[in-house]
Amino acid sequence: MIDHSSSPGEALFSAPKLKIDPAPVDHWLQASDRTRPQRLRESLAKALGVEPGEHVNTVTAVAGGPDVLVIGPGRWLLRYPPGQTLDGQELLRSVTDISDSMLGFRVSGDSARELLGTGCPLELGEWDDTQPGCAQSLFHHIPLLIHRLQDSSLDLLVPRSYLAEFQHALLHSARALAALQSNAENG
Amino acid sequence: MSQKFRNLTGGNISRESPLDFRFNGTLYQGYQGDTLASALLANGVRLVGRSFKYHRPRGVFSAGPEEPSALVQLGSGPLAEPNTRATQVELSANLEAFSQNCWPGVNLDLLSINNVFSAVLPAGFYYKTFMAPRRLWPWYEKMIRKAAGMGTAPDQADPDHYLCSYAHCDVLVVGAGPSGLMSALAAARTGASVMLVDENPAAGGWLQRERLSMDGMPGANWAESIWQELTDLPNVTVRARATAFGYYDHNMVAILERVPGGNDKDLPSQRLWRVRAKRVVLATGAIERPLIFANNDRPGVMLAGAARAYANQYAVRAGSRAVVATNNNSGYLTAVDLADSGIAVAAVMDSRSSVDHTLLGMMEERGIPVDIGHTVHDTRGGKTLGAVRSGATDVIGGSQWMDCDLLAVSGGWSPAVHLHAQTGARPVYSTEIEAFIPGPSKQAEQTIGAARGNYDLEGCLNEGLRAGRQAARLAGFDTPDEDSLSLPETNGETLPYGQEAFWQAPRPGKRSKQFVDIQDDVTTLDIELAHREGYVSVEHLKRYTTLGMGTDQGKTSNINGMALLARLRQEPIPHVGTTTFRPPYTPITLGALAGGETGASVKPRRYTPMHAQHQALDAVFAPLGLWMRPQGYPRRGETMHQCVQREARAVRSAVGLTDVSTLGKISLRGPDAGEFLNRIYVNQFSSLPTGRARYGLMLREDGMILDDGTVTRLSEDAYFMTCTSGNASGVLQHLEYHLEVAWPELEVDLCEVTEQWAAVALAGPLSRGVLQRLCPEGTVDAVRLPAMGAVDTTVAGIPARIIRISFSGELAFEIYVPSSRGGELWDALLVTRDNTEVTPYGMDALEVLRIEKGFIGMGTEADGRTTAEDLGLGRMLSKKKWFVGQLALQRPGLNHANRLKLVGLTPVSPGDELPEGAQVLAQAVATGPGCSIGHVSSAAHSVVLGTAIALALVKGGSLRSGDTVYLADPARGANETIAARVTYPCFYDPEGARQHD
Amino acid sequence: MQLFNCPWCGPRAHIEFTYIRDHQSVSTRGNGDDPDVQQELDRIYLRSNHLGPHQEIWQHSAGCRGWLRITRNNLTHEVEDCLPCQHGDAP
Repeated sequence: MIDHSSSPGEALFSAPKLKIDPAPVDHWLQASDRTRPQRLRESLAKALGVEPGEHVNTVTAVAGGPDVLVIGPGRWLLRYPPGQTLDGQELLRSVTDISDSMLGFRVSGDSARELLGTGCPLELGEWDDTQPGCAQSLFHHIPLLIHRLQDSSLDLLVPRSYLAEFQHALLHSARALAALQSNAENG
Repeated sequence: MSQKFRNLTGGNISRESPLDFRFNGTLYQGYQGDTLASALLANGVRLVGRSFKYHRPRGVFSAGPEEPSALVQLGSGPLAEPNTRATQVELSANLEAFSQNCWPGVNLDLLSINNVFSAVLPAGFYYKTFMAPRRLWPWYEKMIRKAAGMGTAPDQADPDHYLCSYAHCDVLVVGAGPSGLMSALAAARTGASVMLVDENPAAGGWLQRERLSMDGMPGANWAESIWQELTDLPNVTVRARATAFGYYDHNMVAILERVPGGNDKDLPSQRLWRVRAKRVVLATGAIERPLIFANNDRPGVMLAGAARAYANQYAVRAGSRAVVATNNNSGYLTAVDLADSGIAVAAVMDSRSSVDHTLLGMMEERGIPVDIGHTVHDTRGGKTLGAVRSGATDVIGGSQWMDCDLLAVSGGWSPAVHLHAQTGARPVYSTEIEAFIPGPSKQAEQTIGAARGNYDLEGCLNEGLRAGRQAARLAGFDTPDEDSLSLPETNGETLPYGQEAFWQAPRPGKRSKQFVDIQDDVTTLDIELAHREGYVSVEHLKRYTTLGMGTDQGKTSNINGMALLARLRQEPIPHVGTTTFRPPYTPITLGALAGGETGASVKPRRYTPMHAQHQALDAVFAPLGLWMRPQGYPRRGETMHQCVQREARAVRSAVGLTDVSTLGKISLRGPDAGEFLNRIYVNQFSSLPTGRARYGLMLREDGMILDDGTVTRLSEDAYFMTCTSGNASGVLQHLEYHLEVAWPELEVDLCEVTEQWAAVALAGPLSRGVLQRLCPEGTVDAVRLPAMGAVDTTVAGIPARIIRISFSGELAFEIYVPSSRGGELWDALLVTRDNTEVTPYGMDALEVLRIEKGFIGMGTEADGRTTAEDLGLGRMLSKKKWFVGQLALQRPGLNHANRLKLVGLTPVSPGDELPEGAQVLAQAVATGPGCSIGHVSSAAHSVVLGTAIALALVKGGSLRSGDTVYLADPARGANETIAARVTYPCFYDPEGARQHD
Repeated sequence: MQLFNCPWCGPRAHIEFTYIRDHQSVSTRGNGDDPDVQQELDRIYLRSNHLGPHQEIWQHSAGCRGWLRITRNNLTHEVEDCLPCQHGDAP
């Protein structure tokens, strides 16, 4: 389990019900085995000491280790704090370092989901707020990875090349939502 | 500024908030809660605009979205909104509105001359008139377009901004009238998530317009209290001013919400909701139909329900002396409410043969005469109504004229089945109410209340309660046993409907205009004409006459039109049917659909890890698909052409640096990776030694080239593939498809790493020297790193992979580092310690270099219609193994001698340019269409030859070597052809000596 | 906006998916055995374009990147089922 409580840098946006900070830059590995996912799962369980989840969109936290996100059939993402990585040579065939591929933002507050809904068609109402989770989807046309943390805040990560456009779109929505809220309150 | 027609008391307006507004420049006053229409009527303004074709005077006809006549332009300049229905415009401070389609003004409109020529302007006139002389067609078209029409679109960028939102709920209720409110409340009590929307600023629907009492208070107040109760529930979202305009696949409903203005620059003016609901309840109400008689379009003629809405909701008298004409009982409500609001009601014309004695009693109480079996035949009065002519329903012309300035007509009520019908469901005709009601549902929805033909208040409330509970149950939420939700007390019964169909009054004269579609100026004569000419299908009737094609989409005209067509065809109305219902229900702004995706954000742009470095060097950027890539780095005083020549020359003579991070990159691993690559590429890869790279070609299954790229073998089981920037996701999909669907037994895993690696190409005779100083000793020497070799090492201390491939034809190195360090790599390579100048070069220079070498480009030479053989790469096709596309390559059409094949071109006159995309001809002058023998696929100005060069695809290819051909470029205005010589498609170092050593 | 019930992710908007091809055109050929050019061309170019349910190969490209065989009515857009398409799925 990695410590998500501190986020570096200053907030990108701050309003009563919504805060956007840069997401921490962590160490990401993708592990996949198309033909024998069960074999990979067992190897990861041995290396991590915890069995990675089987159902897509679930997250398993490893104490003193990574968060393990199931993002597809036979496909996991391991999220390590910087400086940590996976031990286990025999797994290297299936494991690719993709740390530099993604960047993004951490969104928290009551309006976090509403913000996501301004560009992402995902149904969030069914998500269990007491459990961390993950999903891949789109924000407008930008590929998006959502990692919902234990405290309900959302890490929204996009491929590095899309970061500038993503930031622009996210802020446009955040400002509009904040304006709508204060407009409604002032009647 | 007095509001002469406003009553001192009554209505749901806020008299403590007066508002100033301007119409056609004149200042008026209204109140908060008014619409523009009610405020205009309060001020006695009856003439609002001019009609589409005949420029006849038009006024306020309805009190809702069905308005066909009172179309105004709101605001001016970039914020102007044409064709806005005054009946739906909420009055706000300093609102400005203007009449449309009239010149110089609505009172004196010179184009009303059209009315005089109406005999030659019937439906479909442009198929018959204005035919000769033919050379005048462009002028006719210009004049016709100017003479008829709606408002003027603004020609500046929209300064407003818009927000989109996706939402999900268990139950979506459309319409907050009595049925909708009960439905939402019942569903909310079960704990289901509920969304309730209504197009009006306040809840209540028709309760706002009638004088009904519920639970001891006015119906409008009861509705407000339920709305407030719903607003306070945590599982309910309520939205006013929100029109559900479209019903889409799998229970998605699109809703446009108007946000009342504020001063915050971040406040969006509209919000587009895309709501996916488990169950939808449609409580959209019913729309009144007018009666059809001569000159029924005059300002002062209005729907009966609207006349009483103005009296009850807005405390506005829509006239001083009124006549009511009806074919059902609701007309009597209007007579009562108008009389009670202070208007003199001269008479009620009832087309039916008998009338309920209770209603007759109500009229007698107020001294209003009732003429049974009578209707209105004609009106007169210039720009506004002055008098009506009434008479028996079967007598042509009627008998007596009556003075009046308001004629309230009711031809019956049609349920608003639009959203239901948009799902593909077919409405069914009910002879009971002579209207279409919803048919069997095609999606998870249910229609209730007046929208289903139920015009009884208690019935509506009951239906709402049951429907709300049922919708929640179907969504998985049961009503708790202790739910005490009960229906409100209603005072008295609502009148039964009592409609008797009466579709058309007799026509007084041969040319009398009895309007059916008031917005598009379609009369009964037009419908008869269409039928006479054979347009007997309702869909043809619509297109030929334009009935129902205006901004109101025929809300007050379609049913009447269908009934008339049925009479002409002598068939029952259900046999005629309806036209297709399409979204949007009312017009929506394109800006709302676009949301924030406008201007530069239409598609998200992608930037390389070295973008900041390129900006610092004043690069000029150009898009390549979604990517922004440097086109070149022009220095002060340089033209782009000079810049490109300088950069290309620097690569050929010294050393240049370019950003190739946009290349698609895929990592492949597994014991079957080699076999997989063998099947995908036309050439061999399983035999590629570790540490070596090879250029490969992959085909589509139909034999055409899909992509080219480079594969490097990293170890026994691991390969690293690069592919064209624009095709990265296409290639990945191609590979994944074959692994998942075609050959799932192969043990190979793919991982896309396009974003993981930044990449540059360092190219030129001095490139090795530059790199040697930044790498561990000996790593990039010719022996350790031969041509097409690869090595993992460090560059300026950054972990890097170096592959010796060249796209420029010079000695070159492609260097890959983790993308977070791309900028660092770029800076390190540009700054050398021994004053070697490393020239950054962009896409354009790269094009010059690769064209000089005759290297094919994806999209130019490999355009999806060319094979490897066509491009001179036939030798790459392995004869020892099967590959995707191999079988299809054998078909005769791909081996035909006359196919377009790759050649080079140089100009016969050294100073000529060779335009890219020009057609190639065998003779100097085009002999007519179809004489092209090919086209120029890539062109550049060569730094090596000093002239233009080109690659072209030409019939016969190398058989024409040495021949002169002619390039024609008429699309770009070239009047003469350019002579060019056919050469070998490589202009520089054909043996490739410079990139090898 | 259509909704597809991805077997791994649950119901998702169709914009997350990419249509690949009709199932009729799938081939599992991995080698040059029994080459029949005409049969290959027929497979590539000819298929029934009937009104009604089609078997379609889609990828959940913006989601889990799983591969699906969706039985979908091309007139009413009704989705009969949404099954994984992995481990070989020739017609």
